[in-house]
Amino acid sequence: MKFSIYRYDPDQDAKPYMQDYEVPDDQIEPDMMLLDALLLVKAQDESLSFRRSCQEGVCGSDGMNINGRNGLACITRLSELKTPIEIRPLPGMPVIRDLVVDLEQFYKQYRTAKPWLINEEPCPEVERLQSPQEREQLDGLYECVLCACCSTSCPSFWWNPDKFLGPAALLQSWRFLADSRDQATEERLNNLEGPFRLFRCHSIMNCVDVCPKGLNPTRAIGRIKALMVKRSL
Amino acid sequence: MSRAAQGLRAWLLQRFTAIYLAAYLIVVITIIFRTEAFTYQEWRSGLSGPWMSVSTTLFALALLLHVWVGIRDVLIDYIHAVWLRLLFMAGTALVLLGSLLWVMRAITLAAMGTG
Repeated sequence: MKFSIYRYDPDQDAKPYMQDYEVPDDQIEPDMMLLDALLLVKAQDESLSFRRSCQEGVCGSDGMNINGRNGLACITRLSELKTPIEIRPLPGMPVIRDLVVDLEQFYKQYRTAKPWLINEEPCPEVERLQSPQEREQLDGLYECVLCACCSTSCPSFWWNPDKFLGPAALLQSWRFLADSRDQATEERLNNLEGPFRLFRCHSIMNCVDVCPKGLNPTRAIGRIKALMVKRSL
Repeated sequence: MSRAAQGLRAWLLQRFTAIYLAAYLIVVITIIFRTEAFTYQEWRSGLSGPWMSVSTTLFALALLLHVWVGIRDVLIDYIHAVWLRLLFMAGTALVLLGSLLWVMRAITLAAMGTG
């Protein structure tokens, strides 16, 4: 099975290049994931760098651009990919080395969304309880693993990564706006005003297309806009 | 312009103008297809009625506002130097304003039965 992988070591290479690799077919097992194959490639050439950890789509470390589409290597089946498999780092982010990118901008936007509960009331003796219906509002929001596949596939995030929060951070904005225990709705909505933070989203929906967890940031963004309209009435 | 006006209001403006544009186009296209042998004279007399001239002026206004928000979005996305963006925005505003005056002149002339 053939691979074409993006290589770049800023200390040694003048510019990035694509390197071809071949993994013998007898080493490829049915139902093998892309990450397993990448580990075989790394056994051939240990200078190849990429991030990985849990290997089951939970940690979100191995987000990369696979045949032109962002995804997690550990839950992408080799059998579903056209060969030669072209692998590049997540688009739009500064490359540290090979497939490893600097996600600082992504995390900065995540922090801007204040992804924690804001509740000024004194702590109760038991947990802050929610009804099953209130808890249901968080389904499809809390599952995000912050792999950055969505934000780095979003053209609006490519053009303005320093000002636009991007789909991942906006999904988290809505996750806390939708939480019955959170009291900072006003503050959160004010924080999203202006032409950049929220309104750079033009519903392109690349985020929905690539999310490895099947989440829908565009819908969450729509709900934030609807809440803003409701507030302004 | 307040921060709110730059975000939510612009977005709402684009949606509301889109609804009006779609409604107007459906009505006008229906009228055109229902009229047999549509001539220039009929077109002009149709446009000179009070309902038609008011709704067409509103259509032009809605169209220009819609275009303004859309072009502004593109400029904000792609042009990051503030002075250059302002220059392009000013140019766009000038063209749109000129277009509005031109449309209003055409409608006024039709309503007055001259031109």
